[in-house]
Amino acid sequence: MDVAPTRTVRDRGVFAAGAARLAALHPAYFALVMSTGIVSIACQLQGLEEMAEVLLWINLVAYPLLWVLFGARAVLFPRRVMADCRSHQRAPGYFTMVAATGVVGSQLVVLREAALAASILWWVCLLLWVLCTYTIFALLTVRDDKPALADGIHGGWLIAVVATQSVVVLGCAAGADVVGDRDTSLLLLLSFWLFGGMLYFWTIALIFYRYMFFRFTPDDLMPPYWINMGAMAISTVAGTQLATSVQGSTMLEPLTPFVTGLTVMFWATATWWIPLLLVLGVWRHVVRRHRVRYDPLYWGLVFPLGMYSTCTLRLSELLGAPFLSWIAAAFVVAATAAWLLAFLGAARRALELLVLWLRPAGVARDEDRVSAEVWRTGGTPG
Amino acid sequence: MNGTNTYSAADAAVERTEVERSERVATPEQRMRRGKRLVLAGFVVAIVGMVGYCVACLAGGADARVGTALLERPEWLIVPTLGTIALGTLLWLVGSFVFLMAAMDSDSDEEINF
Repeated sequence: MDVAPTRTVRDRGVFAAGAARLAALHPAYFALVMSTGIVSIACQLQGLEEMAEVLLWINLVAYPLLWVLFGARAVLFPRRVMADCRSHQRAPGYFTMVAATGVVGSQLVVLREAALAASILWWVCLLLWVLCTYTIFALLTVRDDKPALADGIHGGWLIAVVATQSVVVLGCAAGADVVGDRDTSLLLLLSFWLFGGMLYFWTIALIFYRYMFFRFTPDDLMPPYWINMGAMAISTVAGTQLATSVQGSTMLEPLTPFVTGLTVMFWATATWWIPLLLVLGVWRHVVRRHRVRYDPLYWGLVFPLGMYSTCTLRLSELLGAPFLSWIAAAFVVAATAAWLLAFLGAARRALELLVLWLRPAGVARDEDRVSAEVWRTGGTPG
Repeated sequence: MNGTNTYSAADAAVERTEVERSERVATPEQRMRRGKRLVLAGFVVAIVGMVGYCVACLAGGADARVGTALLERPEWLIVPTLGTIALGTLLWLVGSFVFLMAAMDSDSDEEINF
């Protein structure tokens, strides 16, 4: 005789699956907030106010929710978290926490003119940046068994650059007097902008070397490769804001031509990447027929599109070049469409948990058995 | 002979009922296909809505920039295009739900790609 599944058995199934997902939660999941935030800002700047507002509310839910999930993961699966911090593949993902904080702060300034919230988030952003930069790079440096360059480096490493520049963007948005004295604040923000640029050139040299001289399969071309462009796009936004903010500063105003020139170089570099990334995307999905399956790393593709739209609009304002705003408009359409696709993919992942709760017991899948094992071992990676 | 004929008629009736029932109740594979079609339709509708919304807003902005008051931000297009996005999202979610529920009952390892 069939026995109807009890609520307890169902709950146990969904609990195990939820625990497995929590244990496997990618450190780069804050890219969801980064992408939603920058697409919201781009929409607001282009006059798509309803969409900007919806995305703000999504971020106001997603940002604290992700902190809760990351906190729960750190408590329940500490060994997994430490393993991630020592992984060349996953550790750079933690920088999304910094960038997401910066983007949410900027979003609050652009959509709500919330200067106080922006100042608080800037300090949080700065502390997270210090923590991530000097923990992760130190841990990766002292690790004994390092992977080969081809296995260790990927576009996600450039999120460290994005995180650095997000400190500048939020600092300027919060009024460029974040540490009290305006000149001191501007010098600090300018320094961040410059060593963010330096970090880009170090990292992109390795990525370009890996592109050109190592075997490259469709699996290697993960969506975060779009950060090659996105890191330069956020550097452009930071540059445009600095060029505006230094006006009136006796110490830094003479640097305006330098800041403007370097900003244009960053924008040109971001633009250079776009055709190459499109060609490589066609090669991956059309020529090599790589299936498109939802992966949280796809948020790393949405972010650069939104950021490129924003940076191009800001640059057109700085240079007085209105023709550039057409490029910004085209990219905001691409960014919102990409955001929607990634959001639907994420929503379907959440729906799977609901279905798991609703389905009859006794149909345990392999995934559930693995999750039970992960739960038992405290999340030690296999 | 009569008994045999009576049995055959009843058997045929049962068989007809079974066929009718199997026609009424779709197999998991059929439900998976139905879910997949809904997901695809939802995707197309949502993307069309999103592009329509962007174009409506940006067209208004472009007209404002060139200084023509002929077409301001077309407010009347905003609500329908946002509704289209919501409809597409709903279709996607319903399709995914139907697909996932059917996949639980099926041996097929077919997946929705995105």
